[in-house]
Amino acid sequence: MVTLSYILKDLSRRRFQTLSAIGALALAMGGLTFLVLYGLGLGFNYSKLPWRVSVGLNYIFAVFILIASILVFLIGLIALSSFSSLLTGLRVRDIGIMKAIGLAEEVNSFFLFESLIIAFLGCVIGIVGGLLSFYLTTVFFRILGFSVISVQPFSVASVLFILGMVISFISIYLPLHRSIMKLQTSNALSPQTMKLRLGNLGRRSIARASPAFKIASRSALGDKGSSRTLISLFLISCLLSTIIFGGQIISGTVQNYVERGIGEGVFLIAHKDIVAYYVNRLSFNPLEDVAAPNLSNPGYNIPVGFVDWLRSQPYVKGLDPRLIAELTAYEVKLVTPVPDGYMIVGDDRRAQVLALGVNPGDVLNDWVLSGRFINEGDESALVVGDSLLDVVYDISQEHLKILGRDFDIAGACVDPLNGGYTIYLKYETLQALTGFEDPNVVLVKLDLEKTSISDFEGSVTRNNLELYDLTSVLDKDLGFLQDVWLSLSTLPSLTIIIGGLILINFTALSVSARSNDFKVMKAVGAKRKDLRGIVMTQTFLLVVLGAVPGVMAGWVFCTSFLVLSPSLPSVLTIAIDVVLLAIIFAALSVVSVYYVRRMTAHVVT
Amino acid sequence: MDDQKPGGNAIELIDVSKTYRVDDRTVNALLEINMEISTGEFVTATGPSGAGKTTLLNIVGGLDKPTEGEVRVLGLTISELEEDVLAAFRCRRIGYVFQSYNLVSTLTAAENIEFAMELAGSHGENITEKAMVLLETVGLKERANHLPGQLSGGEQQRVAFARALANDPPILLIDEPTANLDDSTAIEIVRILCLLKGKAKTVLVTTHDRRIVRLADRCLRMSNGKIET
Ligand SMILES: Nc1ncnc2c1ncn2[C@@H]1O[C@H](COP(=O)(O)OP(=O)(O)OP(=O)(O)O)[C@@H](O)[C@H]1O
Ligand SMILES: [Mg+2]
Repeated sequence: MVTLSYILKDLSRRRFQTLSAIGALALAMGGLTFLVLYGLGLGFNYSKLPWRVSVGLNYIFAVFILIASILVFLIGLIALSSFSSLLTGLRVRDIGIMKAIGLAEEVNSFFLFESLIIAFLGCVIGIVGGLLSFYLTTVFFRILGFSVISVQPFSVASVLFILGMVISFISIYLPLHRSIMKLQTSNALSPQTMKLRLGNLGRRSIARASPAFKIASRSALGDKGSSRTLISLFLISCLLSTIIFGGQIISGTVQNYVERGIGEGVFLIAHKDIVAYYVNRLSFNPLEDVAAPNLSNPGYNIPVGFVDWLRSQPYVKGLDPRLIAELTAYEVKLVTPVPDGYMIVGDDRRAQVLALGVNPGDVLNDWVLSGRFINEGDESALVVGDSLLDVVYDISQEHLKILGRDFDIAGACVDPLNGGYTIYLKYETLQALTGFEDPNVVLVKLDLEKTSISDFEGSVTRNNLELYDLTSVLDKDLGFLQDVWLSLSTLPSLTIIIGGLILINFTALSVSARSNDFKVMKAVGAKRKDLRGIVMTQTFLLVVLGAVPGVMAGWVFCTSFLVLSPSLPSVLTIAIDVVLLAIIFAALSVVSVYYVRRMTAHVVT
Repeated sequence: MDDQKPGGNAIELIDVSKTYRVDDRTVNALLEINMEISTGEFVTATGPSGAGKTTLLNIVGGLDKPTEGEVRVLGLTISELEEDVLAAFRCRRIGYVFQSYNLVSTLTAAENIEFAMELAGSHGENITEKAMVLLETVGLKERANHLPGQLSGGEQQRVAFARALANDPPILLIDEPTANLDDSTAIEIVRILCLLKGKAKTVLVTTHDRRIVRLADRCLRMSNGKIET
């Protein structure tokens, strides 16, 4: 049995490697803990939210949180296993010597305990950090005035702890164990443990290159360990760019969905009770829940004469009179005949919805739609808001029943109104169903060069109605999404730190693995400039062959698979991202040059 | 230049000490060494393990700086030179052969030699030819395209000799060239050292090998960081 003190000595003498392994694991675990708690409190539990971000938007956030947590965890794992294989590479000699002096099982338990210590410390530090940052975010949200759903952080954390311990322990220990089993003592003790594969690379293609380039390229690409480095570099860069680009695309896309759902420069005209109610239903973070006024009250009607007057005004660019009513929508089970009997699709779900009767040609919104919007001839079809998708199993086949009538579902839109619990049908159809006479809501778009707001507002108030600029509620909603996004963006920064740390470690470790080469070069008369050149070339090759394709793969993934009709970030944003990534990679060369200098400061023979 | 002046001192150490600190103990690897080696002299240094032989070579070659004292090589006070100046100096004036791990592991035997020549500013086709000639002198022409990992310890040592000679340096510093080798391989090394003696180079070899000591003009005996008289 190897005593603990040897293991602790071993870990503390290789402080740099130990700390970076623990650090990378802690960051990965911390990120994961934070994200899962955050997701439980916000992203995944959309239906219980006190605010009314629609299911579709929540779903996008939730998917991103999910992808991001998986990626953060993956980065942590890649980091760990690459560390341990690099470390094992550096330690074959130690393993060989330990075996040579007669340790057998003990070598195994030595590294077993080492892996356990690293896994334990990394997980504990990470989870404590994750819990802490979750609490800070909660406090931040409370200060902003939001109520956050309470989750059971400790039960979540303990599940994560067990999971993290198991996975990280395996990923640290397995590579070590494999090389302990594989290792022949004589090999480990032979003068050269690093075996190069020259192949085509070494011989033909760069036969004419300078020795410095040969050294760099063969160190970067020549042996098995370095192809693993290359793959890890590819994956990490891919994950990094997925998180950076993906985050911006998600945030931009969600904002764009909301902008299109509310419309730009749209004004609301209605009785002041209805205005208060409608605006409240459009807001993601209502201060208090305004109860529905009695919508059938004729006092809320907007006189047809006034609507006609509006329509004749030259400065009215768009006019969208609506009839709104609160209803219950029922899912209609579908019975499909099959060879021996029938099959039932769907269930008896129902939802409280806001029904809007509209004239299809007048509609001022430009929602993101799947399927189609209703047209003039659609007497018995409707369009649902995205949250209703949760209530209906299969919108292409099933029906919805409203006030005893069956409707086909023509399409679904991402709708910020009423948390996505909306249905849109023809004005006349809703009129006939409810018996309401006149519209109770009118949306208008104005040409503000031909009139002034105050003039127009005057003519509205003369009719005992109120004019409300929906831009203000749009701005509030976008601001709310921005706040959600801000706290979510802890995530990209976390990942960048983790990724950067890992890459820098790779470089430092691969330099220390080659310290003997640098010693020889120095003795032969290589100047600092020459050594720097070699290291830089090596890093450059790794970046070009591993990181650049990785970043591009991430970009392709984000733009093609992440969301429906993504809004791409601006060229400036992309440029900033690229600069950011470039800085990370530049840091690599600086670190490796620093390590070469440290490594060759003393000649150890 | 100074180094061509017959009878002048190629290497001169004045009160040189080298101290290492490990935790709170100090180790005197070299202690107030005074030593002169004249141009063209072939000197061996022997002594028990830990006597400071390797440290002495590293300091003469400028790979290490002395803690105290002055080191003059070919008339230059190298203990005061900057890193990069030292590198350039080593490259043309000094040939180095270490005790082990002599070669850049990612370069083939021939490329290791060419690398040294390129650092000294030679380029082009003729360095390839020259490297082959050097490899032939050490009897390893067929191994030109082997990587260090594919060479035996003795072969690596001989490649290191070829590389040390690549820029025709006036001084050779050689650390225990036969220590890790079997008898027949060691003979090869001794043969190479014999060739050097004929070329009027200043050579400082640390060794326990009697066959090498016999070649020497002078033999220094070291113990505990000092040179015995
Ligand atoms: N980097 C170092 N840090 C601390 N002590 C060192 C260091 N390098 C050498 N020493 C010490 O300096 C002394 C001289 O070392 P050196 O390598 O010169 O001995 P040597 O005569 O070459 O021995 P050997 O015949 O075994 O090669 C030794 O006691 C050694 O422990
Ligand atoms: Mg020695």
